[in-house]
Amino acid sequence: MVIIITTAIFIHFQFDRDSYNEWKIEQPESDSPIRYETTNLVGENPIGDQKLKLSDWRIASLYFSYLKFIAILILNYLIITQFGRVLKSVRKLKTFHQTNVEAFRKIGYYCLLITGLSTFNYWAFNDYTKSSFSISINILLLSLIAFILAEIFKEGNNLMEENKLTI
Amino acid sequence: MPILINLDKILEERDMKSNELAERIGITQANLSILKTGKAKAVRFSTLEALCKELNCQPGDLLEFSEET
Repeated sequence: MVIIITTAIFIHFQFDRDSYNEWKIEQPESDSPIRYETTNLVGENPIGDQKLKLSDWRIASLYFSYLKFIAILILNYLIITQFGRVLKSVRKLKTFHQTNVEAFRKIGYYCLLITGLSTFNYWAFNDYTKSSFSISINILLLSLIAFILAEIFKEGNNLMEENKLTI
Repeated sequence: MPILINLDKILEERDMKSNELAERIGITQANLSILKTGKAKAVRFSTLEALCKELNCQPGDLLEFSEET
């Protein structure tokens, strides 16, 4: 639903930019401790003015941000789906099943992909340009936890199989 | 696995059916089948004791080590 709404706004924005003259967004900020960024202010935009006009958004940056946002949204959906599967199997008392090992591994890879996608930011407006390279520690940590959980569940699955085959 | 279970041979010698043995030692037929086909990863001493008691044999008669398999 969010993807459809975003895509609809994205398409409409390209056909009729003037409708978005009143729409303003905050200057993008990165709170990652590991980052490198360059900012350029052009023209009459005073430094104190933190708002950016949406209609000034340049097409390359717009496409970049849109595709990145959609990809992250899809990955988040996939993570939630995998997590839902794990919860379902726990309810069915099949906690240490091989499918859960795979689910946690997938979650780990998806988190790594999200980290990769959020590494580079490119914001280009008519009077403001910002490129930044930052690593999102939180998601990277989540991916690490998911991989550790996958290994724990793998060990649990081995023990369960061994117990099942002990006569 | 290099450890073989000679249950089939002993059952034939004793003229006993596997379902009868399973019932006597108190395990399911499925578990006895796992044991017979060599899929089992471990055997409990209690199971081994029950098998030896019912089949009137020694653990060595049931188990065999073979490097080839």
